[in-house]
Amino acid sequence: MKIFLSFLILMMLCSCGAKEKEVPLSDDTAEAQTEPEEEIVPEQEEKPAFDIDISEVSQTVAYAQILDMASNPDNYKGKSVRMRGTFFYYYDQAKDIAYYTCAVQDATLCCAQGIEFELAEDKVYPDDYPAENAIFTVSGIFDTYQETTEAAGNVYTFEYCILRDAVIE
Amino acid sequence: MIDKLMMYLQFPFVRYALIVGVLIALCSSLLGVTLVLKRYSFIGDGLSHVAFGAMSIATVMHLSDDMFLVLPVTILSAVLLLRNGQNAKIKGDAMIAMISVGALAFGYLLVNLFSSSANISGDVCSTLFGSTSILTLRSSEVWLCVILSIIILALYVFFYHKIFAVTFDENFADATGTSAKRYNLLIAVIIAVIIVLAINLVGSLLISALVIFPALSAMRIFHSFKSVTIFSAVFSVIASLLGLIASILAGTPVGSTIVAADVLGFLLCMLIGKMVRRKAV
Repeated sequence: MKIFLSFLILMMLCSCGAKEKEVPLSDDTAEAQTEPEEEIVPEQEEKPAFDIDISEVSQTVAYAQILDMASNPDNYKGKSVRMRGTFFYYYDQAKDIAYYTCAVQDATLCCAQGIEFELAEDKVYPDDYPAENAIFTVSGIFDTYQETTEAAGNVYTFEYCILRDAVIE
Repeated sequence: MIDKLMMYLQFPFVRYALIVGVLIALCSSLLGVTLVLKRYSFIGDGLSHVAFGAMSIATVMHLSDDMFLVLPVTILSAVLLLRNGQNAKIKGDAMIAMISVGALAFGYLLVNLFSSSANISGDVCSTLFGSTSILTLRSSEVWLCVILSIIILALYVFFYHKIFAVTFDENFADATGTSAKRYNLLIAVIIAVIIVLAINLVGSLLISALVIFPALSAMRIFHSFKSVTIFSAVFSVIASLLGLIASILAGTPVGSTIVAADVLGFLLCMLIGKMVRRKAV
C-alpha cells in the first residue's frame, strides 16, 4: 500500500512539470491581427573556438592532456590548441636557435610538461614575449618537427611538439 | 560544479581514470578484508615496493612494456610472502619489511646509476606518489585493467567460502579438506595483480591505504565477514570516486587526495560505529 501511494505521489509530482496546453488564438482576435508572424530561425550551435582548450582546467588535467599530446602526437596534429602555463625561453648557441615554451607542472610540482610555440607573425624577443617564468595563455595549431643532435659520435633524431601560428593572449 | 565536471568528462583520459579507479578500488577492498584479518595489512606496501624495484629494472633495460617484468616479479614476491601462511619461519611483518625496503633501495639505486631519463626524481616521485599516472592511461591499459578486474571479481565470488575459511583458521580449513596452501597461493596472485594495477592509481607509497582503510572502516560498523566485505567495497568505490573527482577539479595529486578521502571516511565510520554502539547500550 505504501509503495503504491509513493508511486502515485511520484507520478503526481512528475505531472506538475507538464506545460500547460497553449490555447491557439482565433483569427478574429485583436492580437492575431496586429502582431506580425516572426520568422523562426533555428539556433545554430556555437562551434568551440579550439579543438583542445586546457587554459581553464585544473593543473592535474592540463598536465595529463599535454603529456598525452607529447606521447601520442599523431592524434593531435592539425588541431587547434589553447593552453595556459609558464613561459620558458632557451637559446641554443651551437645551433643558433631560440626555443619558446609554454609548460605546465603536475600536481606534486616535481614534473613539468610543455609545448614549444612559434608565433604567427615576426615577433622580437623579449619585447613581444612574456617575461621569463610568467604565466600566460597561448593558442596555436599543434604540429611536430624533427631535430637531429650529435653526441659522442652518434647522431640522434628527436621529434618535438610545437604550436604553429601561435598567438599570445 | 556539475557543468565543470561534465566539461572534464569530455577528456577521454578522465573517463579512463574514473573507470580504472573504481575497478581498482573495488578489487583492493575485497582482498583488503582478508589481508587485514590475516595481519598482512602492510603487504600492499611491501609488494608495491617490489613492483617499484621491478619497474626500475624494466626502465634500465629499456623494456617497451614494463608489465612483462613487473607482474611476474610481484606475483613471485606475493607467493613467497603469503604461501607459507601462519607456519612461516620468518613471520609476515618481518618478511614484508625485508623485501619492501630491499626492493625500494635497489630500485632507486639502479635508476640513479643506469637510467637515461631527463628527470629521474620526477619519474620516481610520480611512481611513488601517483600524482597523475591514473590520468595517463592508454585505452589498451584500460582494457587490460577491466579484464583483470573481472577475473579477480569472478575468482573472489567463486571461491568466497574457501577464502573465508582460509582467512580465519588455516588449520581448520586444512582439516576440513580445503587446501590452505592452494588458497593462500590464489590470494597471493590476486593481491599481486591488484597491487600492480593500483600503483597507477595511488602510487607505490600509498597503496596500503586502498587495502586497509575500507576494511577497517567497515569493521567499525559491521561485524560479520559478508557485511564487512560488502560495505568495504562500497566505501572504497565511493572514497576513490570522490578523491579522483576532487583531485581533477582542484588540481591536487590524485593518490594523496584519494587517501585523504579514505581517512575522512574512516573517521566518519568510527563516529557512526560509536553512535550505534551507544544506542544499542
